Amino acid sequence: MKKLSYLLILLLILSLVAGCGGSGGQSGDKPSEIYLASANPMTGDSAQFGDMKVKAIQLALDEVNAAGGINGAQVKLLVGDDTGNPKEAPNVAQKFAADDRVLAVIGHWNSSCTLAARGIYEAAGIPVITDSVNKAITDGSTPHVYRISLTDTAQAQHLAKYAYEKMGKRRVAILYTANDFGNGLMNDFSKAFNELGGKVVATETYFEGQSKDFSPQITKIKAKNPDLLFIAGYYVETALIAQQSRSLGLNVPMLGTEGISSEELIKLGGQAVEGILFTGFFHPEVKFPGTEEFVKAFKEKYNKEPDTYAALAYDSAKLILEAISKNGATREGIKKYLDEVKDFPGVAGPISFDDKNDVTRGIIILTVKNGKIVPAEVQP
Amino acid sequence: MFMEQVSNGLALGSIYALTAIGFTMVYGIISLINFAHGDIYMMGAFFALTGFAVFKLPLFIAFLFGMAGAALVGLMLARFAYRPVFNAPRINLFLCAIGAAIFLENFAMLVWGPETQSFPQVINNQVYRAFGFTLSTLQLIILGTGIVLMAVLTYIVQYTKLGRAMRCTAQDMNAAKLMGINTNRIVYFTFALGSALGAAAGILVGMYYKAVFPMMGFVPGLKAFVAAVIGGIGSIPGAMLGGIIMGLAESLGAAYISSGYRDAIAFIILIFILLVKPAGLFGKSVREKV
Repeated sequence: MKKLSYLLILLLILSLVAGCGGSGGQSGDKPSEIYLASANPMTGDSAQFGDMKVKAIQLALDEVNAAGGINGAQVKLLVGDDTGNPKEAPNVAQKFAADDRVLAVIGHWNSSCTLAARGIYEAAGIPVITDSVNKAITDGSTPHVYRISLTDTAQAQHLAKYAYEKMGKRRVAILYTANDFGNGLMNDFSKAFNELGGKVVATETYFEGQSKDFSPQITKIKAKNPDLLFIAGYYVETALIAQQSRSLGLNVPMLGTEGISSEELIKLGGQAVEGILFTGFFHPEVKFPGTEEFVKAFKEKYNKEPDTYAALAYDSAKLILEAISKNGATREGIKKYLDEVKDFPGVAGPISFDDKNDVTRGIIILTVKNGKIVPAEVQP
Repeated sequence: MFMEQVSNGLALGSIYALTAIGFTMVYGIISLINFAHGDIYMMGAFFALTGFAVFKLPLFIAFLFGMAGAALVGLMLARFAYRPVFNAPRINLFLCAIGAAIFLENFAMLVWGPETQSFPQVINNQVYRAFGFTLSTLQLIILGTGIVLMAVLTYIVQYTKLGRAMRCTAQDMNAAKLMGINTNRIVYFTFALGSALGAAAGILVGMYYKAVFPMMGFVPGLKAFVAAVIGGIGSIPGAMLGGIIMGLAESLGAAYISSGYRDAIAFIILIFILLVKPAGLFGKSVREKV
């Protein structure tokens, strides 16, 4: 981590230095360097996701560069740190928007960050591929923003259906984080679950990054006798909630979203997160063309299993690289390609965007078994 | 459910109480609102985690190692951050405390990394039930440690020579100096002791929630401040009572009002106390000398 932060500081300084001197050098038809940018939480509570994403994007770029680049131009990555904080995201966006070399941005992981920054990218006409899940991000007002993950609405609906039909649960309690992401999930899940005929018996909230003690909420939930606990939040809190539920005697199955799909969940949660079910868009054992090669290359380079967001970031980078080689190194060209792409062969499944720039894809259900994330036995 | 919420509140409250004692002690001696206290609490937890996970110390030794490490940090803060501005106006000292807090947070991020780290499962956490109360082993340990440390502290302050010197220094530093008390040494000792207590709270919290991270001290630091004010800032039993009140209010508030307001409740109590009994429950109101 220490090394990584040094590297980041170095990258930031380099990108600043490059930003001062580089803008005049692009007069020829063939730029010798092509720049993509990635804005992610590199520090803070969601730092793990930003780290994985940047690693995956770098892998995609390395592959292209090793093969001679695009029309002879090497592709470089600029990394911005939004710290997972919506106050910080616009600053990062502003920096990229002011940089003429940036052709496209992959990022903002946190929904609140993407929401805060998307207007700036839109004004600058930079195509953005995000993996944030809040539905408001693709409300039609920012045609340059594309989403490669499912909206929280789609996810919540899939999950509600899974809970009702496949798990046979009727009384669900919801514990959600008090932000755009958690609120959206809580509302959409409740709506879908009620429509199916189930009952939401309790909804409790907490603050991401501040709450460590969940015992009042859990005790309250326990008194309502649910048969399922749906946790709409991220891995740190989910691990704590799972542990505290166990010690307070709330022993019901738990359901989560892709926000907890991370090895860190198991490291923090230990035995308590065993058996927890959650949404996934990617798993090494669920194979599409290229999945195996990607997992192998990622493991070789970083000595780590890629997670969902690594796969999505890799696909995003591949999409943009393909766009550049098809339509040339311009922002308009990339946008045109993303608008028209049909069933692009991604490692996490084929990618197409609908007229609202939302990806069309299904979900898989993952679970923790013997300290490992594996696909659940019952799939939707 | 009410009794369960009360036991949740007591566990939380004893953590606040432990944090608040160190806070209130420092205020009692040199009237400094030490906003770096929460971050010393964080440093203590990280030292203990390092001792436990890296040096493979046994739990009890790692615990003492965490307290000793934090005491050292407290001493260094007192020496290098507060001592130089000790005779300057109070506001300078206060700003130094805020600066020290930010420094410690970023220092921890550089050394241990910004992400949440898991505290290993060290104690088999059994749950006991009686009369509607549910208490886990760790909650009992937290309560027990709180009471033991408080007893030790009361003994030091009330019955030892050092304690008498501390009380003298608190009353009038200049007079104490004239009576031959080395007040510098007393101030450093107070800092070390207060920091060690704060660290104990931090380590217990790390063990209880199994999570340690660089920003973990910020909110508890503020809460300790509120607890100290509720109890009457400068008063040790007051800090303890204030902590328990806060813990109970938060748990019951989250249960019967809304879990979204639990942090706000602490500050609502603070405002209420300041309006009704500004000196706090155990505080004496001292008229300012004109």
